[in-house]
Amino acid sequence: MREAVVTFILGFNYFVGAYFGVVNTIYACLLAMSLCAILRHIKRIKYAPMRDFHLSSQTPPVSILIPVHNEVNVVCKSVRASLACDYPLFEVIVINDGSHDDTLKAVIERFRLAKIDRVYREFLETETVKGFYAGAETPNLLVIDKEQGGKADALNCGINASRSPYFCSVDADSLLEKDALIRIMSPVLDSNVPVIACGGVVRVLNGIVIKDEITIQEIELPKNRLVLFQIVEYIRGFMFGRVGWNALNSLLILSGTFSMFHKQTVIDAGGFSVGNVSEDMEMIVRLHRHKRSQGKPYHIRFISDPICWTEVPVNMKMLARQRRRWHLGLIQSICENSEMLLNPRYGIIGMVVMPYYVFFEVVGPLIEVTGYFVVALSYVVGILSMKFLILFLTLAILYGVFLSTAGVFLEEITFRRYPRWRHLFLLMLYGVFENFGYRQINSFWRLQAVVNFLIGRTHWEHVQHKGRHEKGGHR
Amino acid sequence: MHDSVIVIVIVIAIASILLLTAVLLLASIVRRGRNSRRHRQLDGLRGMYRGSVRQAIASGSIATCEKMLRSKPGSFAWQAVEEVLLELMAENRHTGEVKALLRRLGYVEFYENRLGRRNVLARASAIDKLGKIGCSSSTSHLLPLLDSSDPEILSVTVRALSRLRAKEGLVAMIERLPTLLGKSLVTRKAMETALLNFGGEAIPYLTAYRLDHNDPWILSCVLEMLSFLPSDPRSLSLAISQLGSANPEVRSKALKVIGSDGYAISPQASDLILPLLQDPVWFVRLQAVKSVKELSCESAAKLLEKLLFDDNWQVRSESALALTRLGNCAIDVFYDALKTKDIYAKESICEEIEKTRFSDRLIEHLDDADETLRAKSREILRLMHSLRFSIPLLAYVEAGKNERIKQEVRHLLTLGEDR
Repeated sequence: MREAVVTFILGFNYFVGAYFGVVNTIYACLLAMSLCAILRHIKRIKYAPMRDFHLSSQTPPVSILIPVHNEVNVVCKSVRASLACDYPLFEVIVINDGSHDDTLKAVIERFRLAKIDRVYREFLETETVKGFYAGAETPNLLVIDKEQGGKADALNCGINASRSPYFCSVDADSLLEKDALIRIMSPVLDSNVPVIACGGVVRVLNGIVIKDEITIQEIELPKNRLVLFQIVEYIRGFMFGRVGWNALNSLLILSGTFSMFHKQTVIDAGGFSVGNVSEDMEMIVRLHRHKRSQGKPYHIRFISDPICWTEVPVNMKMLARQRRRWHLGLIQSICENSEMLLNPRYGIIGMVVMPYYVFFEVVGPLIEVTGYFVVALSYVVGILSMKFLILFLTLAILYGVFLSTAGVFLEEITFRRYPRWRHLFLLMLYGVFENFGYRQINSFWRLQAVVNFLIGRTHWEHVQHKGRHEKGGHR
Repeated sequence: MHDSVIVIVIVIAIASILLLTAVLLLASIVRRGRNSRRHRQLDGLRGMYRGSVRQAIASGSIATCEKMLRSKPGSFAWQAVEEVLLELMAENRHTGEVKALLRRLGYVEFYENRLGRRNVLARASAIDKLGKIGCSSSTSHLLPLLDSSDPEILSVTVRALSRLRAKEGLVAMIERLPTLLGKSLVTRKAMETALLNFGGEAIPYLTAYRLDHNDPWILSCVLEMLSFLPSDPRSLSLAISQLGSANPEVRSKALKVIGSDGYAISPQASDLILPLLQDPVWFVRLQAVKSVKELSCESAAKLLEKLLFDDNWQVRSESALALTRLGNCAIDVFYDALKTKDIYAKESICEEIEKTRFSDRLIEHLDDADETLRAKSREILRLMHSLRFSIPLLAYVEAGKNERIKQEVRHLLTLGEDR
């Protein structure tokens, strides 16, 4: 028995060593690619024809879709920020997804809307629509009231009502920067290949001082440590994860908080999947599948300058829910499109990106948590080498610190949204601290998601938003 | 032995990562420090030069401060002066004087020299700057770049030339239309936007260009550009001549030119447009409806009625919208159309009637002396209500002034839905 355990432990150790080597090599490659791509993008911005796009007849109309469910605290501010976008022709469609609170009433009263009759065609099947609201003061605002069906259903409803060729999904707890829309549309206008989806950078809103509810007045870091960890995580994820995959035209994730899509392609692909708890990721995977099976050229892009600020969870309970949901969504998306996995017909997506997500993102937490047990088991059977344990832990932690530092460095050489010296040091410091506890608990939540998936607990875990209603934002 | 190799590998990896992390950390700190100093200096210099330039403007000529503005190319002062002067140009103040000053200070020459760089980003940046400075003498330096094979260089050059607004630039761009439009989508979009900067000046070249080239794709692009330029008889005549083209893109763009603002269309021209309402291609029909809408052409009513039942929803909606512009003569058309069984067509009609407030006119007719008009208006409103387009009726009951109409409307609202 002891011999079998020892063999297992030794085998596992070799496996983990190889696994660790491969995953970190991939990260290093992504980092190198991101660095080149971001530096090039930053230089191009200087002569990018943003103003021309703004005046051009070629700039297509866009619908901003904001699905809301019990968001009375934040909805009006979000709508105001979206309406303030600097873009030639756009409409804002708020989809009230069966809220039980006063969300609908708040929007109607704030924007002086009245019920209207409107032709509604169900290109995508959704829950029943109860009514449409519009007003003379904001002619480009439409509110749809519908039965509850989830975020994906609300987005599908917005797509049905939209009359623009492109739509942009924005979360109700988010704040768009004024030029974010024209920037996120620039790949569409500036590409030789049809761009069917594009994502922009999402930053953490907590701590930001906001003027007139819609303008960012001052960028500050919050005092909440959990939020600080998430800021470092967002910077790392957006600055090198997505930029790197984008360079290979193989993005599998765009944040539903702020992404733009070509409407007809989404309709052709069947719209957002109602059963999936991470509809944004599943949509991107399905778009790849749809377009690759058609054999037509397309791009799904991520650009690092359009910015949307979003609230992140401020306590462990809400963060756990969010992270479980994200991971569950990832597993569901892969399972629903498993035909693509290791299928040469889907090119780099099927042969590289999907396997990467399966073997490193889905299975990763399982291996990490198993690793902790194996360490304990090694100690019990008396074969634990403290020297190797310390060396390996040091290597793993230092690599984590290196990646966070690299993320902050990329931010520093590009957009520098956190302007003070204190911000720089605090972000670097939290990049170190996150390796002691925060990363591990994240792995635990992700493992919980795997277990939930296996036992069939796949319901949407709602994350409550605090709302930025305190004077001068919330620090 | 085996263990010691692993230990050495891990230790080397740890040391490398530590070193890399330290480098990144140091680079971030150094960069932030350098940028803070640089921005402080630039802000100070910008403030100083802005003040001097404004004083010089107040004294009559900005040329008086030329000596003070002179600095070494690439220095902070050089950058600050450039930004201050371009700011002035963006405000459309003293444009001529500022351009001349930028030339005397050596900016034009500096960027013209950079056009020879191999690096695409550096070259594109220089082209863009020359466009912003707007010295027409730079045109000759930019023209050879129109033959570049890089779409990025091409699109930046096209934009820069359009800012310079020199005739040679325009001629050179039009001569290369097939290459510029066909090279890439990016260049095509840049070209279509850039030509608009030339305004009416571009029209004779665009219309004359077409005489020598009959490629339908180029022709449709030319017509598209003409539709955004000011109205001109030459554009109109070209558009009319192309209404019978075999290519649907060309027919559609020709209609777009005709439907754009400012054209007084002769009855002969409207005779040419009306048959296109029955074009086999939907986007030609759509454009024809839009043109007819602009012309408010009453003779089109019967043809538009057919289009209310078109397969394409955009054509249906646009036809309903065009009909609402025709006034009372549309009532008969709506009356007949709403009696049919086509739910898609009926809903499009109702939406346009409500959106354009044609419904208000129908409600007012409920108290009209003309009995036929009253009956038809009443029936249309009843049918709209049956299709759940009742908001104008409800609004009238709430805020209307005529009691007789209100009573009539209340009666209509009591009728059930027969959807």
